[in-house]
Amino acid sequence: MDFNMVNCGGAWALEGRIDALSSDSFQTAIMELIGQTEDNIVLDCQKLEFVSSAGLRVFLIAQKAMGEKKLTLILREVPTAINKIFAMTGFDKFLKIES
Amino acid sequence: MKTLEVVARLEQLEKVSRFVMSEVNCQCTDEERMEISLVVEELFVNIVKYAYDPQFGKAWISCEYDKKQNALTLIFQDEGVPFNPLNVQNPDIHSDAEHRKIGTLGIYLVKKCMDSIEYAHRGACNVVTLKKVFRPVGGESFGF
Repeated sequence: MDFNMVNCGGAWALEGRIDALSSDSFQTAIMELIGQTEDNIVLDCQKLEFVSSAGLRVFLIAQKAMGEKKLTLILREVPTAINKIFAMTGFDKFLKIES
Repeated sequence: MKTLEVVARLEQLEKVSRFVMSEVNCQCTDEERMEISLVVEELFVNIVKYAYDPQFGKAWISCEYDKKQNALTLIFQDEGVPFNPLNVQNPDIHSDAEHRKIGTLGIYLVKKCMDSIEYAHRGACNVVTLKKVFRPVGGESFGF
């Protein structure tokens, strides 16, 4: 159940599963990025396979931190199944999800 | 019905997940498979985090696919503190990020993904029985 966050020129690709086992490493990586940036952050979710409540928790923490900096977290290419989880939990209302 | 007994520790999650997923492998859509995977993680992690804290105990996970009903039954059992997931209040899914509380989504996702959930406290055991009926293969399976 691996997870990777990879820099791919202007965007960050999220790959694999964000679950209870990997959510800490996702949190560390994205919070470090948010701490350093003065720009919006684009997350490419094309290769994201799975998000559990542990992963949603990190998306919420990241969204709050970006909001405090008046910046936008942008999610692109979110797979249908993951989009369904965002919709189920109302995360689609505050996350900026672009097709 | 087959049953797996594990020590309720986070590193057992993959084993538990594999055990259940091998039962549903061919019977459902990718989306349904992900929902089952999600339910298994949320319930097992809940036992790991709360049932025996600060000690460790055991968890029993049972599953059975019923071909006739095209449905999966899952049973999660532990001997930890009595905990009825049906009593967990649903999160306010309409509030914005600023007002969202961190946490509390796991049980809600379980409720959304399964067709039925029953809770019983038998002996010293929490018993959560869940059922999901899969959509017929070849039918309209996607969309939300």
